[in-house]
Amino acid sequence: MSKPDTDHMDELLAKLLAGEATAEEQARAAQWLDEDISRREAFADLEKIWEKSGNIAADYSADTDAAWEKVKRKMNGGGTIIPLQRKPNFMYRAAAVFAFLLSVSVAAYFIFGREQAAEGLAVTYKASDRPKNDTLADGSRITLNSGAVLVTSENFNAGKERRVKLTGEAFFDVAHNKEQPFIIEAGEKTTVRVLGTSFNVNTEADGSVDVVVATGRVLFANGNDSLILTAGESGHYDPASGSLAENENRDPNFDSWKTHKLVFNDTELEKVVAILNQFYRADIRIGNGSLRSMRLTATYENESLEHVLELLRETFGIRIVRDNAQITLEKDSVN
Amino acid sequence: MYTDETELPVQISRGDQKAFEHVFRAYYQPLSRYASGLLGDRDAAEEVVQQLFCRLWEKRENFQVSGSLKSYLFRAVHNAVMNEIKHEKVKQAYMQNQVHDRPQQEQPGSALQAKELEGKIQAAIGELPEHCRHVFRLSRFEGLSYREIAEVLGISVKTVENQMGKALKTLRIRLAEYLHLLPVFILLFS
Repeated sequence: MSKPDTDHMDELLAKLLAGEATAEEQARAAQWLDEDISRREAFADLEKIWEKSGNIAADYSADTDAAWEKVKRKMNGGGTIIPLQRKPNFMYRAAAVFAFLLSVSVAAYFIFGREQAAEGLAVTYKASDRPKNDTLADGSRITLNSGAVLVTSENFNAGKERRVKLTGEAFFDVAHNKEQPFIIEAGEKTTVRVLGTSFNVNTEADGSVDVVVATGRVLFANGNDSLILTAGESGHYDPASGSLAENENRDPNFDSWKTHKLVFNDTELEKVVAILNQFYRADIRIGNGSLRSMRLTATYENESLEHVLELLRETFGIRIVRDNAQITLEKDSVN
Repeated sequence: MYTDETELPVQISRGDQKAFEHVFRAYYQPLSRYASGLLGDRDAAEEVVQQLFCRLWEKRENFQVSGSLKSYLFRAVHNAVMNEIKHEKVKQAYMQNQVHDRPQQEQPGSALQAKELEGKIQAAIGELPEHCRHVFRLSRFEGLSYREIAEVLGISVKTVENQMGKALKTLRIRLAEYLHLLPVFILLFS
């Protein structure tokens, strides 16, 4: 029998199983199956696949009640949408978060809170204890690191530019739109201006800002200076000097918050400790000056701080001294 | 399960929370299951569906459904998931550039499980070409009619027939050895 014929029969048998076959088609299928035992066997196989695959769907169960409670909270305005004219209602959080959010809502008020803008409210996106994916009204995708807050301008998607304010760290995948440039206010003094591209922005509490570009081009600017960054390049804003500079060496760990992976390549221990402190929010110190310049080449993925310290101890033959939360790396006197 | 739904979108657009909850409860599980099948990640899938419903409620005043509500919702989830996958791809490609030798994520619940044949079938479905896979899932797992599938994916009913035929044929060929092993197993253990 010719190939188009079997293709056609597969379609017909599929229709039979899916309950889409007309009476005429059912009769035709029955006749075709009757003609040859091997056809019947093939159809028996299909029936088995069909029946078994039904169980796969039955295995999936979602907690609809819990999901509904979550959605209902958001519907009633308790979640993500906060009109800036009103007193923000999320101030009950921990003190650090409190200060963080307060500064953001104050900044956002001054930047976006124009009197006449009654409609097209600013929208706040935030990630509390773990990174969170979200989609903005223009279709741009963002991944917020824990603790990060992003506030859109009012009428975000309706003006001649799309403006957002970021505190903390986020990865952006900006929907392309030549007519409406996407502008991120990062920190107090810098902006990142793009048309459509993807990149990582990190604003630190000390006012420094880092931008790393994944695809496309980005304009990184403060009041008097600007920097064009292309894919693979990164820029740093230093609040002390008020200057922008392109980084010579990219930090391979800038997105470790998302990948849970730390990469050290001939990195001085002093730098390693700084990175570990940031990543694990730990307080590790180097007790002995001669340890500072020791170099580490290693990759840690999804490791606990405890395990990483144990690996460091083994690698360098050092001692780990603990005093409450403080951890000190000491030279082992035996060596 | 989903009887007379033509009134629901109208009620929702008027701000009827009961109607909205009814739709949510009726469709949350199937939509999440479909999204999860495409994304391979339950949490991410449920997040997508929840966000979709939140957006739908935010913009309820403009909520209008021209075809069936079911097709509308599956289409919205399908598009949101495709968007999500695109975003993940950009991120993944980016991370691959950053860090060498990043191991491939293991898909949870793949191949060898207690229910071996089901596992094999699930894996084989996962390996179907993209369009085949979407059509098959919507038909077999979500019980959508060919017409509804065509609406969800924006293709013709003829193409749905075509892809379903192709899907079943591919599964039959790929799974042949396991299907025919089954009687032997039964002999051995009975």
